[in-house]
Order: sequence, then C-alpha cells, then structure tokens
Amino acid sequence: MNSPKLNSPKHRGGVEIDSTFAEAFDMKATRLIITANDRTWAMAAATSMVGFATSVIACGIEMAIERVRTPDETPDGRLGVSVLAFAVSKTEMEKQIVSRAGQCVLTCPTTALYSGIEETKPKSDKRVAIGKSLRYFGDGHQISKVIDSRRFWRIPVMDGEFVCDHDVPRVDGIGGGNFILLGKDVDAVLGASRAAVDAMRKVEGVIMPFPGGVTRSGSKIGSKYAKLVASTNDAYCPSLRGSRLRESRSGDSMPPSPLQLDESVAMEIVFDGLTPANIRSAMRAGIDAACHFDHGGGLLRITAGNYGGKLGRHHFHLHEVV
Amino acid sequence: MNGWTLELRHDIAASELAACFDARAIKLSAFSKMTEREINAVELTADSKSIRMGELFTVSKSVDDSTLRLVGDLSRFHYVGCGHEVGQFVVEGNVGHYAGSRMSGGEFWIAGSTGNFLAAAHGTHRTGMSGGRIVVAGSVGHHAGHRMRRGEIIVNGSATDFLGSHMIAGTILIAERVGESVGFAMRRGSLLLGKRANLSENRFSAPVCFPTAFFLLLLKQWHFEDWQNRFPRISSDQMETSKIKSLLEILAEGRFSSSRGDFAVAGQGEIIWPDD
Repeated sequence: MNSPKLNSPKHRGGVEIDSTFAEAFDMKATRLIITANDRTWAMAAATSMVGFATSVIACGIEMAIERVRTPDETPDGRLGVSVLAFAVSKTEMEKQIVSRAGQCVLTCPTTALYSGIEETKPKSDKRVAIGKSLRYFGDGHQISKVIDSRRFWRIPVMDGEFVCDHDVPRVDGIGGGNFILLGKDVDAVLGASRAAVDAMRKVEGVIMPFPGGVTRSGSKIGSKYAKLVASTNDAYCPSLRGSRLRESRSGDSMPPSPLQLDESVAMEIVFDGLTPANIRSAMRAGIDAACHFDHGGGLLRITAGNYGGKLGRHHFHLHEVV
Repeated sequence: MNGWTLELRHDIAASELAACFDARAIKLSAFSKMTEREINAVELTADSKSIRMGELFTVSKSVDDSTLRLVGDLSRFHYVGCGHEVGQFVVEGNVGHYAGSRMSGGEFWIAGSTGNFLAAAHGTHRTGMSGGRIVVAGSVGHHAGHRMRRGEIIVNGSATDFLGSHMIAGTILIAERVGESVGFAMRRGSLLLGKRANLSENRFSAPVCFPTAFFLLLLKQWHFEDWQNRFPRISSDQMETSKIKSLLEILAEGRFSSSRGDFAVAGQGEIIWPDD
C-alpha cells in the first residue's frame, strides 16, 4: 500500500497526522448473536467461531467478537455475544459461516445461534444459511418453528436442543479500513495501538480482526513469487529503509521508504465495519485514543494505507475523520 | 388497506337471528377495497336464505388500517376469519365453528370463545391453517387445529376433545385443560398444554424433560408486552392472556414433560405440559 501525502500534516497531541486516506472495499457482511446459559459458554463458542479469521487473504473470512450482549438484546433473553463477519463473496461467506457454526457453535454446550441483523420489510433475499444447512445434523429429528415469519430450527443434541435461525440477512459492509501508527520504539507504538483498539471496540458495527486488533505484518498486493497474492508491506518495514534508499539512488523504480529516519516501528490497525459511518467513528476514536495515550513521545506519526485510490471505492481521509 | 368495524346491531333480538350464518364473505382482503355501501350490500347465507350485511351489522370505518373488527356475540356465525391471509382480524365476542379455518397469514384475535374446528381444514381441503396467529381469550371446542400445517393457535382457556388431530405442523398452546384424544394422528407440530393430558402409551412416548432455549425464545418473540397495547378498545378483562404467559414462563424455566407421537401414524409431534 502507498501513502501519498496530499496536503500539509495536522498534529494531534504532538503526533503528526498525515494528509492521506485509507482505502477500503465493499464486502459482504453479517452479524450473528450467540447465546448460552452463561457468559463462559457464549464466549467459548464465539472465540472458537472467530478463530483463524484475521484476513480474507488466507482465511476466507474476517470475523471477530463485536461485544457482549445483555439479555435484553438477545432473541432468547439469555446473555450473548455478537460477532461480525466479512467476506468478499456470498459463496465464501456462506461456506465459512456454515462450517464455523457447525463446528464451533453447534458443538458448544447450551449455545444457540441467531441473526443479529434487523430484518427489512419486505424481507431481504440476500441470506446466509445457518439452520438451513445445519438442520440435517438432526437426522430427521429436527423441528422447524416459524415465529413471526422467522424460521428457527430445533436440532436435538446431547444436552437438549440446539436452537438457531434458518438463515440470517446478508448486508453490504466495508472492509480494509486502516491506519498505521509510526514511532520510535515498540512499547510506545504498541501502547498507543492498544489504546486505539480499546477505544474502537466501543464503536458498534466495527471489528478489528487481527490478534489484539493490531497487525505488524501489513501487506501489499502481489509478490515476486507468482503463487503469492500478498507479501510484506516492505515500504513500512524499518529493516528495509536503507536498502530501499540505496535502490532508489541507483535508479531502481522502487520509491524511497515512507518511513522517516527516526521511525523504526510501524503497527497497522485494520478494521471492517457495517457502514461508512461506523468506519469513520472507529477511525476517529482510535486515532484520538492513540494520540492521547501517554507514549512518552514515542509515537511520532499516523498515516493510512491505500492503493492510490485505484482499488477501493471508499476513501477515508485522515484529516476529515479527525 | 382500509380498516372497518362491524358491530352486530343491538336492535336485533337473539330470537330473531337465524340459527346459522356462513360468514365466509366477511374478509378483510375484500372489504379493504370496498366502500361502506358495498360492504352493507354483501350477502351472507343465513340458514337457507341470504341476508345483507347491513341488516345485521352497523358498518363504520376504523381508524386502524388493515384491521377488521367484529363486535358482538357471533356464536351463530361460522367460518369467521376463514382464509384470512393478511392484517388483523379482531372479534370482540364469541365465534362459531370453523373460525380461522384455512387461515394462511396475519393475526386473528378473539376476545371470547370459539366453537369446534378452530383453524381446521373444511370441505374437501386436506390442510387447515397454514400460517399466521390466532389468539383466543376464552376456550375452544372440539378438533381445534385439525389438519393444521403451520402457524400458531394460542388459547388462554381450555380445549375439548381431539385437539390438534391429524396435525401436520405448527404450534398450539392451551393454557388450561384439554379433553380426550389430544394429538390424535398428529404427525408433527407442538402442543403446549397447561395441564397433563391423557395420552395412550401405545401412541405417545413416555414423558421426558430436556434443556432447550426454545421456550425462552418463544416467550420473548411473542412480545406479550405489546399484546394489550394493540387493542386499546378491548378491556383487559375481555382479552385476558395472562395464563398464556404464565404457562410459557414455566416451560422456559425447563419445568416440563414432553411426549412424542403419534406413533400410530409414525408421527414425531410433541406434547408438552408443565411438571406438577
């Protein structure tokens, strides 16, 4: 990803905010609510379901826990956990959701699985199957129940019944929202990153699918190896600063590193949201929290990744957002 | 959709009414496109004669869209709400036989009791109710839910014999007692009963209990808190539904027994009642 500067930088809490933008893409999205007899089992199922779902590049889907839901917010009045899922195609979305629901939620004691997306009138025909596929596990003993035009399945399991929605609505979401924190040392940048992620987790409709919400291995599209669709974002690798400079002087086409001399660490926060407003809110909250974190002057700059505006139709300009 | 209120005229003595009215012509889907004059001219079959609606009812436009309200004791009116498919059908009083028969959608609220064959199949039809919801504040007669295929029947009172007979699917809740031959030849579907029924050991499994989140789901998704608010003109005494909620709360706590059957027809229906 490139980071073209458009205008002069802004400053916030002593941290430079680049005049650039994050480039994001349309994705297929849905929200699921997992309930259980207690928080332990709801969280166990949710954690399992969102495992290995950091990036569509190799996982096929991006998923993470959105937040804990109180009994008032769940269809069956038990405590629950909502998870968001983002995929590039409806086929991949369905494949991933069905297998994860079957292996991670159906298997987890006392759980039930419901849609977390509000139904439209008339009912959207963009659906992701859950019970529609999982019901066959009931081997003919499953029971279908329609409540207010919404079909549920009761599948007999060894602790009683697994209850789930027949299918859930699929909506248009946005993936690839991002910003990159640049600084002098790992502790300062990681501390600021954590503060940012904590603030962003409070925003509804947004997930940060990477471990702890942060990635140190941001990627660019393509590689010198034909089989790889993505490879390390060498522009932000501090260890390559020198070589990029040398290659550049020698007339190579590789541009010089966007990292400045005192910027030796870069961490990227990648996030997906259900709406552009969700992305903006999360971005604002994250950048604000990072800049106001007590980083001891270690956090120097915040920028964002993009492809020059050629790939994604959603451009979130840092200066507009903050 | 226009809404209408049809009030049974007070100046007609019960002795002057025919013994039996066929109320199939009273349909929200048809009336919503008619004028008051056209509705008054609709003819009902009464015994072997025809009678105009205007001679029986006072017709007035309702402030509630997509709602047809019938006011009065309609015990002699059969097939009320027959084939109802969308919107709300409200009866403030009793209704006769085959009420809600072959209903396929919408809601049917009865602030009274019903005759036999509520939501059942009639004539040569193979299936009865196939969608929607019927709520009865009073009690229901024989064969309620006969050949029911989908939908919900929720009764605050009791039911007599052959409840859910030949049922194919759907849910019936009877908050109080039921008569004999409950679930006779039922294939699928759920009967939620306020009291234990006499079930043949040859036709139904021994009672068991199991944990499920389903009744919690039902308790919340039926939105009881909205029920009374939706009918401000009906007094809470008339549209009494508290026993329904109480039963569901007991089931949601997992204090129930369940039998499956009817094995005589290889059925997998379920009959559920609260533990003593």
